[in-house]
Amino acid sequence: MSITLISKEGAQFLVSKPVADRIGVVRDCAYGADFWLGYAVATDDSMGITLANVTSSILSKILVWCEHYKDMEPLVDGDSNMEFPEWDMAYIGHDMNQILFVLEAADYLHIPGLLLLACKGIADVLDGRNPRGICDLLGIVMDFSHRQEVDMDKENGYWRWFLHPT
Amino acid sequence: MVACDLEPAQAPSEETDVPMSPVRDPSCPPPAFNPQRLPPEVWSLVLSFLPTPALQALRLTSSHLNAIATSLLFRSFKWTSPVSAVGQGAGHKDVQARSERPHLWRWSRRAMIWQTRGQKWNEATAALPQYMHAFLPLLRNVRGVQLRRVHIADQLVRLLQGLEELRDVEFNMCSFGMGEDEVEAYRGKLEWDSMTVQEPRGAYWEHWASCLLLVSPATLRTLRLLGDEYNFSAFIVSAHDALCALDLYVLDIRLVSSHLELCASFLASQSSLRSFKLRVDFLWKADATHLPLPAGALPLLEELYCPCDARLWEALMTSRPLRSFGRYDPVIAEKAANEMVRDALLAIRRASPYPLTIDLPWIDKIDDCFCDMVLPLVPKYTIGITMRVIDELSGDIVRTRLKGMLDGLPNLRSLHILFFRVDPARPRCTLEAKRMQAEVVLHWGYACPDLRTVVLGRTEWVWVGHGEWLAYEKDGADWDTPKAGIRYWYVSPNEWLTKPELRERRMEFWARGMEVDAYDKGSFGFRREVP
Repeated sequence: MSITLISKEGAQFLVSKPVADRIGVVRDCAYGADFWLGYAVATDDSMGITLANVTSSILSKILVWCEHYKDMEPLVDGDSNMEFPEWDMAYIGHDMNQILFVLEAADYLHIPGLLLLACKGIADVLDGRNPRGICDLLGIVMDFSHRQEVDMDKENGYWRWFLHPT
Repeated sequence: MVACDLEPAQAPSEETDVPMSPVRDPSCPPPAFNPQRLPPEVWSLVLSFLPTPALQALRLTSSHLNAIATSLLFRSFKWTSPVSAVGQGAGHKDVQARSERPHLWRWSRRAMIWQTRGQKWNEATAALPQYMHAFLPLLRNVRGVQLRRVHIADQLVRLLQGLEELRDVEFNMCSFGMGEDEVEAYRGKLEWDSMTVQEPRGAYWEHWASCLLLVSPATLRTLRLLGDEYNFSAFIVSAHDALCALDLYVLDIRLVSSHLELCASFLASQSSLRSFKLRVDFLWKADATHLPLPAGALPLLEELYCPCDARLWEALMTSRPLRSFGRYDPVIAEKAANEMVRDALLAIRRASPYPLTIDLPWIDKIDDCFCDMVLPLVPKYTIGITMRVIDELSGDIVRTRLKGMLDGLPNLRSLHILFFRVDPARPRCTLEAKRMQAEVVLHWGYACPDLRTVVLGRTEWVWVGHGEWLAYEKDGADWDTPKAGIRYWYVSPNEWLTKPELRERRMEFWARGMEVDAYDKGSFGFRREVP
């Protein structure tokens, strides 16, 4: 059984059921309550699901991940110490703009494993940068006055002192 | 439409003038992503992967990210009292400096207020200094507070009452000193869900019962009383009759056995109780207890954790059999261990036809008596067994004495055999030792179709399907954090693979939902996900 996914631009992607199952929104749309109740689901190849918020390039990248994880469970929870498989880290890469689009799409499509991986990818890119570098990377305009900045810098100092109270 | 999995089957070509989306020049860079489009909860998830310095840097970027990073940085507040007089003066200044930035403390969700004077056995407690009384109201969104070595008095209770989000309070080595009039003034006004009193201090235990009266019976659901030698009957307050979880941990059984009637009447009043843990160490005697609990007293009890005593067990079980994962954790009974465990297992068999997890007591050795008299009494419906043996068993003993122990347990899902003393000189990882273990585990897997996990000391076996098992041995690391030095092997009824061969089989494990990863130090990581 296959399902056709339609991107924002109208491009169609024919994906197999195990691949589509990785995408929560598609799974819910395609099978509805019957899937969760364990009933047989009658669907055909002509079924098309439009993902209006996902561009073709991002959808094709997401489908690579879904294809990889069609037969195994990805990591879906964890903390800053968790280690992702090498394939995952190579997949997510270091292109911040693309990771952000993937992150947004994973949130929209409800793919918890990919969401976590994208979060890890962004964190890896942000780690070690100074505030100015982060602003440049994310295209953020610093909206603090110099005085506020100095204040917050002091507060960061407070935080260190927090951990080592007198 | 082309049947292709990953490539767009009908990619929009540049020649096509379908106005679905504006045509871009491919040489232009893709549009920049505006980070503010992401919802705050997703940013929180991203920031949870970042270390502290990166969070501090993010605070300085924009007000949007500042709010999210600050909430993560300042969510836990900890204050430890300075010891010296000079330090106490500095402590005053420190806390005053913190008070000048109240906007930071509204992010705190957990507070630890520790006065750490003296050793554990030191009885001394003291009231909080006045500057802390002035500071505490700033933590207005805090949900949990732990107080250590603090004397609980009127002023502090008034402050705690003012923290509207507070739900979980722990008094650790604290003393209670409110008079009757003061208790009456605050009676039932503290709306806490959970209260823990650990190692209570003070000359009169009865004073702590007054502390319980302060908490509203309509909100208190979890009560935990943990300590060395306190008389827990002082905490039994008839005003609280809607507890869901009660955890009593005392080290001296005499303090329990002399108040069993009071304990029984208190338990009988807890019709909502779902979890009851009575942990008593040392000095336990099988004939010391008779809990006069009326039948049907605990209709909702699901989790039970009590000493190895058939009479006590029966008293709790006859109220209603446990519905799911009743836990059974007896204590060391030395010479009479076999008899006590036997009696308790007989009581369980009489009382519970439901799936049960059994936690057997520490025993010195697996002798014939244990194998013949105790193990056959494990109920048929048992789904999990934990056995604790003082000295590590050799592979030979496991094979000769324990191989047939699971033959009558078709529902078993997990078996843990833990050792207290491990002989480092024992040739545990010889091929012969592995083979002996593998033989036993394969037999157990055959006897128990649902068996998925077997822990034998430092080796864990995980079922990977088709009668096959994957074993790995921990080497000083926790089970869930694979580190270098872990050894793996794999066994099926017809096949034996060691680490290098296993490396080649990785793809097969992937196909079954198992993952074996190569790690930096040349070892393997392993995730236990059985399809």
